[in-house]
Amino acid sequence: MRTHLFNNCLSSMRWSLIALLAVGASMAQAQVQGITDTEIVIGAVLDLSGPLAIAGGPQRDGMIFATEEINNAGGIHGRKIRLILEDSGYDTKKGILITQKLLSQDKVFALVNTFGSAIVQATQPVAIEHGIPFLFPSAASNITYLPFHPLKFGLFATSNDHMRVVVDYAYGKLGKRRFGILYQDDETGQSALRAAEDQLKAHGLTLVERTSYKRGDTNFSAQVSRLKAANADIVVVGHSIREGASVAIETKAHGWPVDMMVPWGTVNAVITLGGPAVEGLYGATQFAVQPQTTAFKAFNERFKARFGHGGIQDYGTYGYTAMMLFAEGAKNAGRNLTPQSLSQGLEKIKNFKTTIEGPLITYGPGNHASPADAYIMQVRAGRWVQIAGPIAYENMAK
Amino acid sequence: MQVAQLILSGVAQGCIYGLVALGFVLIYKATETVSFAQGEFMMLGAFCGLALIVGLGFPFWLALLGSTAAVALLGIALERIVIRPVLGQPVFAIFMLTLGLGYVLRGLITMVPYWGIETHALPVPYKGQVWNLAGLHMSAEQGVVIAVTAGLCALLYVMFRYSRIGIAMQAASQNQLAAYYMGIPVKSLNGLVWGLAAAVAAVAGMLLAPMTFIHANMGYIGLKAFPAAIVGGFTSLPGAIVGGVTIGVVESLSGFYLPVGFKDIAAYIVVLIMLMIRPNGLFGEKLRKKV
Repeated sequence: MRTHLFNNCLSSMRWSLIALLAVGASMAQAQVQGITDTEIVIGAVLDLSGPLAIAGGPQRDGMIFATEEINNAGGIHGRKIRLILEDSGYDTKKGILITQKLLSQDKVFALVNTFGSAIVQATQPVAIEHGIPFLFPSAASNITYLPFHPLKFGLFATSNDHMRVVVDYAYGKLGKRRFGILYQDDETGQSALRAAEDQLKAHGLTLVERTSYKRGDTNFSAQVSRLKAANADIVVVGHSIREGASVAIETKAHGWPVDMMVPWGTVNAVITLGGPAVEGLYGATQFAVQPQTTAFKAFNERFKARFGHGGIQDYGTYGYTAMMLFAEGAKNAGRNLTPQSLSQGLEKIKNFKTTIEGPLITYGPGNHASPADAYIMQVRAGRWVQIAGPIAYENMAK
Repeated sequence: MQVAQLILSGVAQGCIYGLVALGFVLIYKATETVSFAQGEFMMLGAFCGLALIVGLGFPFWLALLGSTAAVALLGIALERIVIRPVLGQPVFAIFMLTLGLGYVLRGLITMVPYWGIETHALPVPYKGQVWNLAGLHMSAEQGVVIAVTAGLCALLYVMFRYSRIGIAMQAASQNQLAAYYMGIPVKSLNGLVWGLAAAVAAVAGMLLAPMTFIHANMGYIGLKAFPAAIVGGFTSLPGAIVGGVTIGVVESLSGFYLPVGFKDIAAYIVVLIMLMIRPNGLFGEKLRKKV
């Protein structure tokens, strides 16, 4: 009996000892997820194979280029960045699964530059719940920084802000009064539609026609017919990139050379795909890859050498800037890098700019909002050319 | 005038649906299975054509022939390797298999470095031309779609009516056992039918490419071709084309005259109505199996 009790006692002591050692071991690590002595693990969920791969490709290149630049300069306080890129295919379900994988399997320290409002909407809460910073998503929705949370930071201008610039330019400089819109029938496109309606109301106008299409739609003939019948004098294509080229071709096929504006698609692929039909197409972007300062020219040469085709373009600019912002925030945070110290480090950023021409980025306590500047671009002689800007959103007629 | 313009666009788009639906019907008639990989064959046809034109410098019409032949061979090979071992299993198993086949083909294309995930324009000799017929605008791309579809239908009609293989295919599709007893090699014929269906899809892909660009997800149009096959009657080849054109025209008209969003569901509303009033489709036969 006594032996039995004694054995029991020993056994429970043994288990307590093991438990104590385990706790001690984990405390000795005191690890923040995604941070080791030598590296910081960053995850990015992009569309690399789906309908918006046309943006995802440049975005990936921009992020990789920035990561290599940071690492070649010695990293951040002695730690190199390990960037894990994943493909969501612009599918929300896949995006959620991939985000969970990045959080629990790859154990990333932060998620940077997630692409697509629908995916951001679904995955941001998951990350925040895990205490993982969700930084600089490429999504034109103010959920990127609202409601306020220390781990959320915005970079991509919201639909409303961006559309304000576009509508105001078309109204003021181009003299347009009859706005038609073609928007993608999902969250992103709907926000573009609402933004257009809001900004036109500020000028006392309404849309003369609104048409939609489902993602993956191939035929825009009926939509263009409606816009033509409504006598629109400018067609805004909301949040579509590849479709912008298709619609431009369709309008020419209808014998209707109407002005078109693509507020979110100033990538070179639009020109390659659209050919002569996209000549004169207007666009808008937050980061212009012009004017050609000496520093930028050198930057672009290195970029071309690294990736083997043309220089950095729209969306690549976001990817690059997002990583550089992260590095700046992490530098400010110091060697003891945690989500909280990163957040405080990012809040110290004032008037930040990279070699790429763009808005001066400032964050602060309670202010993690996206910067507010845009450039108007136009396709001239087969290239995107900056024709106006930077235009600050504050200057817009409210 | 507006109506005529809309109908014209609808007919052109409908021809594409009809060509893909033709593949569905061909395979269904021969083997009583539905192949959901037709959309992907269309996509592969377009990529193959792109590779021939851009990679090997073929002229457009030669690339069309080349990609059709290549995809036909692929169809025959896939039937032999993937589908034939499964024949005799429940119908559901086979159409899940074809669904999976579609996923695999799409995945494989995206694995091709650089090319697979990008969107490409197909350089065609008639790109950008717009024809003016009595006040109606028709882009050259649309005109070529309609002309080639008509030509292909004529070719298939002649083949099925007058050639040995065509007659044998008809026989096998009516009664496989009887055809087998008559000495018709039903198994190899099934392979040929898959090849033919894939070839037709490849042609559709090459015709569609100048209008919608080439990318890995262009096969989703197969989802619209399925209603086209149902509307025409799953057992009728001309029905597939008629069904496709019907869906195309309905979409075009509803996109213009009905509120926003109806265009996307028009095809499915037509299918629902057709299934309610005429479940066998416009030209389908009422089949009964006596046990």
